[in-house]
Amino acid sequence: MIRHEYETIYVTRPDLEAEEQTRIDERLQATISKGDGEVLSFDNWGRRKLAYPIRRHLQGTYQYLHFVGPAELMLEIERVMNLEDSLIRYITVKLEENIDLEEVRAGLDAAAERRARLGLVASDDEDASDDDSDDDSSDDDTDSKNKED
Amino acid sequence: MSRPNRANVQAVMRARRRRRKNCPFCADQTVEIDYKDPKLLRRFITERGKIVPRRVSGVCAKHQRRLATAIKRSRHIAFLPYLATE
Repeated sequence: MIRHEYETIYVTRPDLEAEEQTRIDERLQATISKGDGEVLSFDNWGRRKLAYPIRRHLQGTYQYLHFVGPAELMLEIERVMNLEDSLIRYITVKLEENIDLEEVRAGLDAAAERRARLGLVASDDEDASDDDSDDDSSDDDTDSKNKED
Repeated sequence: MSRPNRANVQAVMRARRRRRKNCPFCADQTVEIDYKDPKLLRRFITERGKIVPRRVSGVCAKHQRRLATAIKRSRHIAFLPYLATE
């Protein structure tokens, strides 16, 4: 069977209870295994500041899924993600077509190391140079110099 | 209005030649353009959040295409703004 290598990043509401978060994570992973896929890695990147508000949220919890599976699996995963109301954003990128699972496995460590170097690890916003915490009171528009035009 | 003299033309040509930039991604092959790397991508958007044209940044066509895709993906997952207010 032809399987491809994918990575999916999905963002959930920042105020989500831990159990609910786990439920979503497990549901997606179950969807992958049910659909002839295989999860290669799953990371929680923690709460991060969003570059712009999504559904009034200024932060989101980022999860990263790296897996292989047939193309039809993607349809099912996206269907499930669309059903989850607390999942506010996702992106899926096909990394490689028609892969050899062993070869992908061999490159796993390098890929994880690369992500770590980019600071894509569980952080819960500490290093994000973000001062204000959860409250959505004032959005921090960096009042600035005028330029261009 | 003066006719363009030879010295002038040469000065302009020299200035133009000096302006030629080379692509940072061709210069350093180890740098990967990745939509998960907003820190890198930020160097190629303006304060407003627009993608910097390659005539300004000097990026080659091939890498500008990849850069544009990466920036758009990065925007989608809110790593980068679609529009930044001043």
